[in-house]
Amino acid sequence: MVSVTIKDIDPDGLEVVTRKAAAAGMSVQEYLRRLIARDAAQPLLPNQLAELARQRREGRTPLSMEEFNRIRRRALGA
Amino acid sequence: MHLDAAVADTSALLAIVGAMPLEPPGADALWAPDGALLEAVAVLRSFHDGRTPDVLGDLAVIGPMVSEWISAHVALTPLVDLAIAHPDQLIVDLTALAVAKVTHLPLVTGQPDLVGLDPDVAVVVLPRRT
Repeated sequence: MVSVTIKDIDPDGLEVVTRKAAAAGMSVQEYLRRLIARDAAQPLLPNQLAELARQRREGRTPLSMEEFNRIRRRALGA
Repeated sequence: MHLDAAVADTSALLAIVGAMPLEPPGADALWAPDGALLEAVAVLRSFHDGRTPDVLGDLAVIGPMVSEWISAHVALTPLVDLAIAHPDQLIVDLTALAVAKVTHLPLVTGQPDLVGLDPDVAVVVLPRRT
């Protein structure tokens, strides 16, 4: 598990979230944890997915075809 | 080249996240043999020096881009024919070719040596990324 620190939260927004968490019988931390889990479980839209893929490609140094084949043969024990 | 649908092999799947020096496959729907997913795990493990979050992050992008993961079982007969005819080729690559054959879809790959192994399968070689 990782921890997240969020800066510059709008105090009015935080107050609303605090009230919502209290109404649900949860701490703000637990409320936000569930909010993140619920959002993460939503499937990405195709354009979001394409953008995520583009971001991952950007600035990466790919394997060469030779490295790729070497790793594959090693994985097969060949 | 943009395709309506295609079968992707391991190299094409890894091109999606920039682990290969290839342009990503341009197809509205991608199908892939499930063996390619296993192989992608092995390659990404090495590519990311064993960093689990990076491997999972790439797989979280690759996974939903594939409409159907196909079991090798559905392409067993052409796979055996290809395996016997081309004993030097990796079986995972031949599985992708066999899946393309039974689904009547082109195969997208970064491996030019798969061209012409089966005359019934159109093989689209992904261009090198510049």
